[in-house]
Amino acid sequence: MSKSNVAVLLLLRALLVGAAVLGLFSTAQAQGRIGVTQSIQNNPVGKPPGGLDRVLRVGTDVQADEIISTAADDRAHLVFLDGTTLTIGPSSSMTIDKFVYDPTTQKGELAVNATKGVFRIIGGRISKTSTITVTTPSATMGIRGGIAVFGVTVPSATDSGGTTSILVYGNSLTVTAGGVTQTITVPGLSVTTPTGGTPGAPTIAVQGSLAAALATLVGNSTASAATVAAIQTLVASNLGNPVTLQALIQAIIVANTATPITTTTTTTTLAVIVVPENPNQTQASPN
Amino acid sequence: MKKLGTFLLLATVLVGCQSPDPVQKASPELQREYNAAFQKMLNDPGNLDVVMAYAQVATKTGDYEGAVGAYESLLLVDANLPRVKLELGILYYRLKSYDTSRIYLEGALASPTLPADVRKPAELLLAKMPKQSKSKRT
Repeated sequence: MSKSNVAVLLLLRALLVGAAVLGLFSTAQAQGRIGVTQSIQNNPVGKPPGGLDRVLRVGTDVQADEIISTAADDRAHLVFLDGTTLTIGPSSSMTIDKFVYDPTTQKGELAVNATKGVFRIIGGRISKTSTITVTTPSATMGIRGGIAVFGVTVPSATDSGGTTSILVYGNSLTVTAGGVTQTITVPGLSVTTPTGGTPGAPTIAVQGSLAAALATLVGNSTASAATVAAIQTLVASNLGNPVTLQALIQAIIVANTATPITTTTTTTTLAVIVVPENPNQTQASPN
Repeated sequence: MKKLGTFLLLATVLVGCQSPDPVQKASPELQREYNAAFQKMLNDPGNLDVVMAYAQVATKTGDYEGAVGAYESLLLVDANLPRVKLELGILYYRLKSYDTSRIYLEGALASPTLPADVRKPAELLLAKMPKQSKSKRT
């Protein structure tokens, strides 16, 4: 065999080995990836199972069982393979306990364990057929087809700690603790659960509390002028010209007037469902 | 012709409001467009054009939650984006999440860099905003 033939064979072998390694690598990556970091502020940290802490950057994959934490001025916005998004506010910590998704059936399971901080979940495909579970030290929440915001505080010298859950949009948000379940069916209502206690009845979110929670989930105004201009231009193009936009808004107003908001909920009244430990004793009462 | 256009626009809005999973109810062609835009965003989440394209097709499909997620991600880049807040105000209004819609529309109007063409639609929606939580007490 000539030297040139040997060189060709070695080169071919190296290419094959390289391709195999790359193939294995991409398979492992595909298996581990359950979502991606879409947007960040400062340096949110992710710790994949068995891995080291790494700063999440835009485009960083996230994995099941990954622990994500933020410092006082960090934020992260993740998008999962089913389209669910999770925004993590400052001084927060959470683990993605479970993510299973079959893109063919568009069904799966998502469970998150939040130990402190502020979070917003916008349900994707999974939430259309299954309940997304959020567990905190003081309560367990279930979200079905909707958007919810959670605030989790840890006990301190001045605060007993607890979980505040706000339904922003959707069919229902259940909050369970101490054998009691409260169900919110009206957007804008919230349930507060003290650590070691049971969830209170759904009440209209305290004036400004929803706005305050949402305000913690947006970044500081630190982007460059060029980036801001680029976003504004793109959004302006999505919104269309003023005449089209005006017509669209008129149509939306008419549509919402024609279909009263009660149609999106399972009840026409402000329902508070108290579920005692024995489900057979479930009772509903107006608040 | 104008009436037909208004009817089609209204019909599109009505269909989008009622569907529990609008993506599955969309035409096969629109589903393909939606899925392609979503996959592109997953693979290139920092690309503003790609994010906007997904937000646009999600809105067209009636997946307002998907569009909300995309626009919310932009507010992490910069909180002072009145057009993004107007979009979010419109989307939450479509979802009948009026308290949240109001927060974003008022946020847009309070922006120090409010563009003139954002003011009118934001004010129009705010004027027609039902008082959600109170009106639900029946």
